[in-house]
Amino acid sequence: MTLPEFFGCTFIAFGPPFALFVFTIANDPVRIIILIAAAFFWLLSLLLSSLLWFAMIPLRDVLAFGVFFSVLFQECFRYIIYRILRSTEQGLHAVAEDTRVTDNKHILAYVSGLGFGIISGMFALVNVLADMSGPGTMGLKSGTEIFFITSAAQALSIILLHTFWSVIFFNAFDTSNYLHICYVVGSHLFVSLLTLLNASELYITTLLINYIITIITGVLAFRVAGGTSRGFKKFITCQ
Amino acid sequence: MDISKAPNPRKLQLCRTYFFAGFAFLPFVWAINVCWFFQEAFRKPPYPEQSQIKRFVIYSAIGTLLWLLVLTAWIVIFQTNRTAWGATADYISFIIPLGSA
Amino acid sequence: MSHAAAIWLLMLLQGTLTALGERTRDKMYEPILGASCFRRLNGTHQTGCSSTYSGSVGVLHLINVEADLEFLLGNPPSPPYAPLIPPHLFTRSNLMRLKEAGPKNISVVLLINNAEKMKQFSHELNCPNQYSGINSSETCDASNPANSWNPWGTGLLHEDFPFPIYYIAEEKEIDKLKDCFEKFNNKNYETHALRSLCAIEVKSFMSAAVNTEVCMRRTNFINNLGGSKYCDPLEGRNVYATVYPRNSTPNAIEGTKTDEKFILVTCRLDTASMFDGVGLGAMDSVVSLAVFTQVANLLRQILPAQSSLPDPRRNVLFVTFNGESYDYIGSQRFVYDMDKLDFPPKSAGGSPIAFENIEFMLDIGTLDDIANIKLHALTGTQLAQKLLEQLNTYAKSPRYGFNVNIQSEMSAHIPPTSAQSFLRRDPKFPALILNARPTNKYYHSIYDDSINVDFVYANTSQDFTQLVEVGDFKTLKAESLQMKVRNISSIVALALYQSLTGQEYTGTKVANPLLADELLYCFLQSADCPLFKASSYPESPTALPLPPMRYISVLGGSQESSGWTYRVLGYLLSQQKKIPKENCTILPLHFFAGYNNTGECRLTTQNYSHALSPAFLIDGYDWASGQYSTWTESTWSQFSARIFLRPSNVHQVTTLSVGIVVLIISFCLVYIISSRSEVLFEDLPASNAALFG
Repeated sequence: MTLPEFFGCTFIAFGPPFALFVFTIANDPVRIIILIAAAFFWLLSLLLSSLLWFAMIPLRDVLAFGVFFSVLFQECFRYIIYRILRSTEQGLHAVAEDTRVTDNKHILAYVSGLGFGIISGMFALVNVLADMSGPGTMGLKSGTEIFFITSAAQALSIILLHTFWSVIFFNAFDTSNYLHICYVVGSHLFVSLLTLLNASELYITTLLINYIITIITGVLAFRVAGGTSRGFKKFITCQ
Repeated sequence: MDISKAPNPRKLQLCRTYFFAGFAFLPFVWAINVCWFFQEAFRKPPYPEQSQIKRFVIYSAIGTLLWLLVLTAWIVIFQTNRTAWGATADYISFIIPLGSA
Repeated sequence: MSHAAAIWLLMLLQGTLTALGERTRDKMYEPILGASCFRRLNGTHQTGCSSTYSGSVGVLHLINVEADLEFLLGNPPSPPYAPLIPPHLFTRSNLMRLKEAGPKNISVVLLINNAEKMKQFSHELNCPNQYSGINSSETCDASNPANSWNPWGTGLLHEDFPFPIYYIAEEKEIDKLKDCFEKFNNKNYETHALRSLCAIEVKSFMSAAVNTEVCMRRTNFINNLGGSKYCDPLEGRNVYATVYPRNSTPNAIEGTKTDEKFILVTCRLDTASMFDGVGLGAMDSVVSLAVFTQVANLLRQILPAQSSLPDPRRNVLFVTFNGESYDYIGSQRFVYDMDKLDFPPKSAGGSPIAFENIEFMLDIGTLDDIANIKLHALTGTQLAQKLLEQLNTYAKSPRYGFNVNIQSEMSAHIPPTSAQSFLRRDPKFPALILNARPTNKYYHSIYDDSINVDFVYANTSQDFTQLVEVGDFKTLKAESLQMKVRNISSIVALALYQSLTGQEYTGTKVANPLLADELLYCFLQSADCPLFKASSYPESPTALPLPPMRYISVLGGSQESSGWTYRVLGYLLSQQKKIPKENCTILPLHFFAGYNNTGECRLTTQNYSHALSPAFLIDGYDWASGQYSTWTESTWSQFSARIFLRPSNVHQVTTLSVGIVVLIISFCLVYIISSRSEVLFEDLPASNAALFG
């Protein structure tokens, strides 16, 4: 991919998370630390799933198997972060200059979710970007020219989904809402398995379904965080 | 360090040290001096040492500008004449470009 | 996708590619095998090609007829382009037009091996090595190509191109290029700018620039901390041997001249071409090397013992010079060394040989037409007359029926061969040159191969080391190249025999045409050949089934050709001794496999001498003086080429704009949401509303 393509894709995938980072994370050191800690936990889950893939020699070629366990590991680590953050709330409260971090439990969920999302989006896209360096684009033998844009858009949806999932997930454990937990794990699994269709170049289909799920999950997260349709109407109409 | 918390004589001493250190062919020290003490020299309510600080800041700024001009001029002259100077230019170069004159 | 990435990561670490893990870049790029043109420099200029630092990219465009070039040279819709040019259109005028069009329009030139319509292909100058020979306008006149030494030469080998030139030899690779061109480029030329086009990227970036003076200065530069080299001098090895072993008394006093008398027989070892690793130089030098080797072998076998010669101090010194294609590197160095009494090299031992020790020199030049040969000399001398007579005695003798026509030319119209280095030092030097009228239309090019000399390997598996009766053709046709080489080498060897012994040769045994057959096969088709096997140590690893590289190259280069010549001369110009293998380890004793692989111990005389131009030895040498060869070769890191789809500008701009729009919208949106979060989350306690705060 050429330089303009590279920047285009990077802006698509990481523009919105970057904006979120700038306006909601960057001005609070505690949030930055939590973001990076969450990213680290995601990496641990990647390590575990890699080890499993490595150990299961006969199943290496069965991508679905790896995907399934990878999702499970990620959700486990989301739970571990949840436990850790909840148990360190007192300590955080002592060091945080901005008390809102600990007063509003959704902030912790949101920040750790974004950390999860950014790192997973990076791994998804950087592998593609690094492999694509050079002056060419897709399409010589197979593949289409829109491959890069769809990859970037998919990475963006994964980043947003992780953010929403964390908000729902943390709240679900706070309120013992098992339906929500099932929804998070289920939709994560569904979205991940959906990407396997990319092997048969159904980029547009998977992307559409992905974004529908992203919107549904976003709405759910909005409700969980205390948003209402009345508030949304007021927001839209600028009251 | 937070300059605004230091006592005034200490500020003056720092500013003077930086100014004289700049004479050891260290234009960046002058540049830092200007940035660091600009507020103290021009924005703060007057205090006894301020006029001296102001002087050092102005001198440092002049020194920085002078350096900037000289360096810019040299870089422009060198880059435009490098190939024409041949061996001489190679001997005063540290990194010689590959594949071109 | 994130999970596929996880698995991918491990695949990268493992370096294993499973069926599902075909890397995306393999879908985008297809490597193209070929040979690249590269940059050489002399005292005043740079020649050859270089890509840009990161590789030159051009859109493929197949040129079938000359008119196709107009499309590229006019105002092409989506520059830069990479024309695919067949050899018959690879002419000086076309290449110069492409060069003028500039790297903005033409970024790469591809030469495809499609020799159908090719009539000639020589990119050497009309007057090879014009400025390093004897200084006379009569020697060669570039303004009158018909009378020059290379009438078909275009001189492109000595041009500097702003684009890489890449030669693609294999049919399979050419088809890849053609298919890609047909599929993506060869339609709707007006919309080229809007479409993704099939393009090629060639990487052949050259570090050196300007001329040898500049790049050697930079290479030897004291500030050059990285130790990066810019260029290396062309450097190789001459191979020499004597017909009789020299009486090298181990306590010979250093620097004292010898009282030996030598007849110097020489030829050229190397060749040149535009592309790295391609070019055999069949007609321009392998044929003369074959003659040279056969003369050596025949003389070795028919001469009586040295002590029974009329003058027992006489000997024959065979030297084959390396780097002669680049302003006579090998012979210039030989002359330089001999002047300083540095020949033979100290390591080889033996007392130094001076010019006074050389009776005369017989230089075997290029033998394009091997049945019509001229004996050249600067001035008509008694010596030249005598040798001509002797040569003609055997050439015309009905007893042998060689049917070779040898004439003489005593003028300054001297062919560009090694003898020029000797004549340049001293015009009175007794140098005689055997050379044929130039008829090689592929001089110094990639097409000077076995087809150009009509060579067909006989592959008889018979003994090629023994002499044969003159009537024994060994299944070869009388007009075959092998027989012609046999004829001329027999004539030369017998004439030299007569010079040495003072008697006419009366035997009926002459050179073996099978030796020519084997030697030509080794140098033109495969180094994995009986002759090379016979002249190696028994059970040596087999050579690759490719002909040895014959470009002089640089220090640390392959040096295959001098290595094989060393062994072959060693084998063919030595005496067999009855010494067991265990005791046959110290030079000059050398153990060879022998033609039937039984192993033979031989008393050898061959050795190497250094072929590096004296210009690189002399402190403060004036590079522009033209006294010695100053050729250097630029260093490079890699040669590679790959084809891919180059995205159209429209596509690139679209992707970038979508990205920027997404970035801007998200910044605005997040700012608005975060600044008005209390409206969105109005029902919650104030602290909750701080989610985006």
